[in-house]
Order: sequence, then C-alpha cells, then structure tokens
Amino acid sequence: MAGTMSEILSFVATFSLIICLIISLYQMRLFFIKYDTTKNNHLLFSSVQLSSCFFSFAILIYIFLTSNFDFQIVHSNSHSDKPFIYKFSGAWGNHEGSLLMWILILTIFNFLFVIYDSSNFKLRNKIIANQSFLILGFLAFCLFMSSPFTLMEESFSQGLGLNPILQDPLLAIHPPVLYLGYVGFSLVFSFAIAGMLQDKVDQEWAIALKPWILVAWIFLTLGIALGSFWAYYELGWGGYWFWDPVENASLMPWLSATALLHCIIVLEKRNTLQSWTILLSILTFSLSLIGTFLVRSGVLNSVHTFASDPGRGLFILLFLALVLFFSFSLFATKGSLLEKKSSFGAISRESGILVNNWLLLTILFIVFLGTIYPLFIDLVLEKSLTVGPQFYVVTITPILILLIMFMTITPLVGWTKGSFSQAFIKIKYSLIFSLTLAFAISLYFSLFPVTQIIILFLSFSLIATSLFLGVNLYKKNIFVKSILGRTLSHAGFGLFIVSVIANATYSEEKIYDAKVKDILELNEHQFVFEKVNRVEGENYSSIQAVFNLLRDDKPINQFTPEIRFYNDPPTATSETSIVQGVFKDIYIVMNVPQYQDSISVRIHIKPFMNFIWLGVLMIIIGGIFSIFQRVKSA
Amino acid sequence: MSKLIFILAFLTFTLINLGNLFAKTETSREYNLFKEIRCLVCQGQTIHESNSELAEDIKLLIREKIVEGESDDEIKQFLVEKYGEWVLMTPRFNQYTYLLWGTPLIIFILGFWLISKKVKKFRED
Repeated sequence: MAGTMSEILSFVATFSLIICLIISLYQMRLFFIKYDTTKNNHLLFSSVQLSSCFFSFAILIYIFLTSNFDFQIVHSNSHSDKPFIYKFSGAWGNHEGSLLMWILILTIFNFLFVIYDSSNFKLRNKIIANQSFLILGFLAFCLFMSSPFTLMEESFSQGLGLNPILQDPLLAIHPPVLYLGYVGFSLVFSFAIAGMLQDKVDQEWAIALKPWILVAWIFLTLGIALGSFWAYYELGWGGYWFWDPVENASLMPWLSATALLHCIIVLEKRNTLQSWTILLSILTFSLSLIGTFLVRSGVLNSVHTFASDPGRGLFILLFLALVLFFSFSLFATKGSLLEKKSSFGAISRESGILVNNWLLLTILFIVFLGTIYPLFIDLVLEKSLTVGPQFYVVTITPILILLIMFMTITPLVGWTKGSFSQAFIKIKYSLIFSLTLAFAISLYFSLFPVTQIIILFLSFSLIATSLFLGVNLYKKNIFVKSILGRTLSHAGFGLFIVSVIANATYSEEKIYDAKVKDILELNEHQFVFEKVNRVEGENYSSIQAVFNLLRDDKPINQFTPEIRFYNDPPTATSETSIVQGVFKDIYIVMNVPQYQDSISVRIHIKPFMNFIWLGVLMIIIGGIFSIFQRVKSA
Repeated sequence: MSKLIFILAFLTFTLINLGNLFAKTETSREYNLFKEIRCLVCQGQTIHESNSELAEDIKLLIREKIVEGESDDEIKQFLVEKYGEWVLMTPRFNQYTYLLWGTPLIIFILGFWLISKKVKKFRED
C-alpha cells in the first residue's frame, strides 16, 4: 500500500491537471468570440494553465528525486542508486513523464504568446482557443490513459532503473530541447487555423508568425544536433547520423519548417502564396505529431522507443487524424479564397524561394518514403527489406546539389523580376575563387570523387557569396541586420556540407585485437596499449583500457575507452574515448572482451568533425539573429 | 577573359576528376561490401560495425569470395539467397523496390511542374 504522503501528492498533482483541463475547455469558448476585449483574462487564464501544469511537473520531479517508489512511474524508471542528474532527467525519460513535459511546453508557448504578441492582433482569440484545444487533447490523454501519478498496488523498496544508454548528460537535455521545437510548431498551427477562421492571412499575420517559426525551428535544429552529437560519442559506430527511423522522424518536421521559414518571407514581403504557407504550417505541425507518434507507439524499434503500448500509439494517431481532418476541411473551404495574386517572373526571388520549397519537400518525401517503405512492403507483400543510408545518399545528393546552387543564387536575384546574368556578374570573383579552391583540393588529394568535388565547389561558392553579400552590405550600412541572420545560416550550411563531404571521404578506421604493450598503427599515428584498469562508478563498474598516442615515441594523448557494467537493469555499455583536435577527432572504442588475453579495439580518425558542429551552430545563431531582426523591425 | 579562364579551369578540373573515378583499390572493395551487408543479429548495424560472431563469419566468407574472383553482385546474390533480401543495406532495383526508387523522381518532376505552373500563372495576370 502506498503511504499517505504519496496519496496526497498523487491527488494534488492530478487535481492540478484537472484545473488546467477545465480552464482549457473554458478557453475554447474563444473559438466563438470574434473580437478581443478581455486582454487581462487571457493573461490570467494562460498563467493558471501554465502554473497548474508546472506544479504537476514539479511534483513529478520531486517524486523522482526522492525516489518515491509508491509511484508506478518511478518504480519502473528509476533506482535510488542513480546519480542525481539522472533521477532528475529520468522524470522525462519515459512515456508518461515526457507526455506531461509535452503539455507543459504547450502551456509555456500559450503563455509566451499572450505576453509577447503585438497588442491589437485580431487573431488572438482564435489562436488561444486552438492552443487550449491542443492542451485539452493531450491533457485528456495524459489523465485518462497514461497518468504519471498512478500509485503502485503494493509497495517496493527499490525501482527497476533507467536504461544505462539513456544515462548521459546530453540525453538529459536532448528531449526537452527537441520538444520545445516540436511543440513550438503548435503555435504555428494555431496561427494557420486562426487565420483561416478569420479570413486573415496577410502580411501582418506573417510578421506576427515568423518569430514563432524561428523559435521552434531553432530549438528543433538544436535538439536534432544534440541527438546527433550523442549518437556520435555514445553509440561508438563512428558516425553522427544513421538515417535511423527516429532520426528521420525529427528531420521531417525540420525540412518542412525550413521550407515554411523561407516561404513566409514571400508572404511577408510580397503578400502572396497564402494557401501554400497555410499548408506548410499544417504540414509542419502534423509531422511533429507523427514524430511523436513514431517514437511513442513502438512501431519502430529503437533506443528512443520506451512505450510499446499500441493503445497509446493509437490515441496519438487518432488525434493526428482529427487534427488533419479538421484542418484540411478548413483548408479545402478557405484555402483558395485566401490566395492573393501578385505576379512575378520565372527569374525572381519569389520563384527562387519556390524552388527551395520544391527541393526541400522532395527531400522530405524521400526521407518519408525511406522510413515507411520497409513497414509498407512488410504489410503489403510480407517481404522484409532494409533501406540503409546509401539509399538516402544516392537519392538526396542530386537534389542537394541543386539546393546549394539555388541557395547561392536566389539571394542575389531581385524580387518580382530579376536577372541571372547580373547575379553572376556580382559573384564572379567568389565563383572563380571557389573553383580554384576545389581544383586545388582535387589536385592535392588525388583520390577525390567527382561528385564530391562538385559539391565542394558549390558549397565554397555558397560560403563565399554569403559572406561577400553580408560583409559588403555591412560596410555600406544598408539592411545590415536584416541579412546578418541569413548570412550566418547560409554560410553555416555551406560549411556544414563541406565538412560532411570531407569527413565522409577522409574518415579512416581499423579494428585490432590488442594485447597489453602492443603498438597499434593507423596511418601516421601510433598507439600503445598501456594497461587495463578496473574502475568503480557511482552505479556501475567498468573495465577501462588505457592507450597512449605517441609522437616521437613520447605519449601526447591518452585514451580511456571503457566497458561499463550496470546492475539495474543489468546491461553492458561501451563508452568511447575521443580526443578532439582542431581538424580531426581520434576516437577509440572497445568491445566486450571475448578472449582472456586480448581485447577488440576500433580506432577511428574522423576529420572535420568540429567544423560539422560549427556549421550547425552557425545555422542556429543565424536563426537567433533573425528573431531579433524581426522584433526590432516590428 | 575571365570567362575563358573560367571555362578552361572547369574543363581541366572535370578531366582530372573523371580520371579519379576509375581508381579503386581492392581493400576499399572489401570495406564497401562490409558496409552494404546487414548484421543479422544486431540492431540496425552493418557487419562492418559489428563484432558479433556471425558478422565475423560473413566477413571471412566475403574475403574468400573476393579472392576466388567473384564480383560484388555475385557475392550479394549469394548472401541474398542465403539470408533474404533483408541482408542488403541498400535495396536492389527489382519488382519490390520500383516504387522506392521510382517515386522520388516522380515527385521531383511533379514538384517542378507545380512551381512552373505557379510562375506562369502569375505572369499572365
């Protein structure tokens, strides 16, 4: 039997969520109230929604920190020996807790919208009503189907523990950041619904919406990057992106959001493409929901799937169907009426952005197809096949080439009616420079495939052109800040692609069976296997191999890959040891020893990893600059 | 003048790189094959990444077949007959994968048609 204290906690937390549920239901009346006259009430209600969810979430964290095993969720996902930080993050390292976090973030965005929205914006009521509808839907799911505050029938003095592979500082923050991205698009969705209901999708709408798209997009980008970085050092396969279904599920809303981010510029500046913008807004949020569904339902097999309960997956699927049905019905009746025509030529900024959307959505389709095709073919023909990384590389590469080309050219072409030749004259020198650079690289490293060289050349042009434009305009002091964000993001993307290509071409790896005192050689590097240590961690014990990287027979870097053995639950994990240099990472990982006297070791040389992360960071910082540009100009 | 340099540079660089296309070594062939074969007992890994016994056995088998002079396709075909289509990381082009390999191209063309329609429509106004 659960203690009285636990019963009170469970009751209070659930009650608090019910208050939020009732208020959200009440707020949905705003769907039917046309004009906004009660601003203060919005602030009051949204803060109650936020604080009641926050209060529940705080209780959730409290029961995890105090290892209160009266609660089912704590019993199945925690252990009293776990380090403090993982008790904390364990609160959302499971289905129920992450759902509550999803709802909390929904209320946060609702609250932020009420605070930061420009004061006389006519869509406010409908947007808040729609946010409340989403809060209501997920809250009902949380309360009735997967409450985190369910008590145990009998009491236990110990919990089952958290999957050790999830016990990592980065994975503690990866889900909240990713969710800030996913859930941020709920507001984008609400803007779209409200805009259709009020027949108001115009420049003002676009200006009010754009910062929110950017906020969600930044968090999603960061969330994906954190996940990728985790995979790089934790999984020990030497890669950072595996085209795993769950990774793909987060990439899809990102692609759609990136298309939206560009398309809304056309709406903002030229007041056209209304229906297309609405469609992308709905698509982006739907893909965020699908991302959650794929991860939660257990349809996919992955470290990310912690709930393999088909009933729960079914709820998200039904909710998604509901959202899609209503938004597309609304779109079918309103979409084309909202469209305002304005003419632009084939060579113009507008059509360049349409090309961006066309290419990004084609990539999105490929990712979608590759992800569901094995499921589809298994269901229809009962045949199993694997869609591995090579499929994506082969199909996406030609589109990527076009994308980089248009990314370089479009910012040079004027609105409505531009000219290619003028654009080329402007960037003549950066093109020649990039070509020379790519040429020099292909001469210097005699083994460089032609596709890679072409991509290198185009990416160099992208970087050079972005910087050329950004810096040039900076000097003249025209629209300085308004393109700083774009300059950084586009140049960052160029750097990212260059580094990805160089990394893929020059990565080296070798497997050894090593005995103590052996010297392992890889290219010009020599590693000496010094010894094996036994290490006791807070909640694991491990075997640690010690390697020294030699230069002129003297050790310059030490590597300590480990195999960790956890007891609760019993699992062995392999910890990589990475030494990061400016131009290359050296990466050692060992496998569970099979023979007594030697261990199997894998050494990776991964060039330009830092530049991959730097490129992503530039993309994110560019996004942040773009928000402040917006706020200032609005 | 700058145009001429541009064209000359481009031609030289294409020619040099075309030459690179044909330079492939045997070790890279072995590695490339390993990266194309799925480890049957692991979670989403290739035999290249895996250290399981089965993966090691298949690696050995592939090495032998390379020495015997079999082509990549022959080796893949052999493994498919033994373990099923699933063993290949990249699905081959056959009746089960027409849709997989074909639809991206169709979507690509369809998308182009859609946006070009948009541009034209605006122009007529």
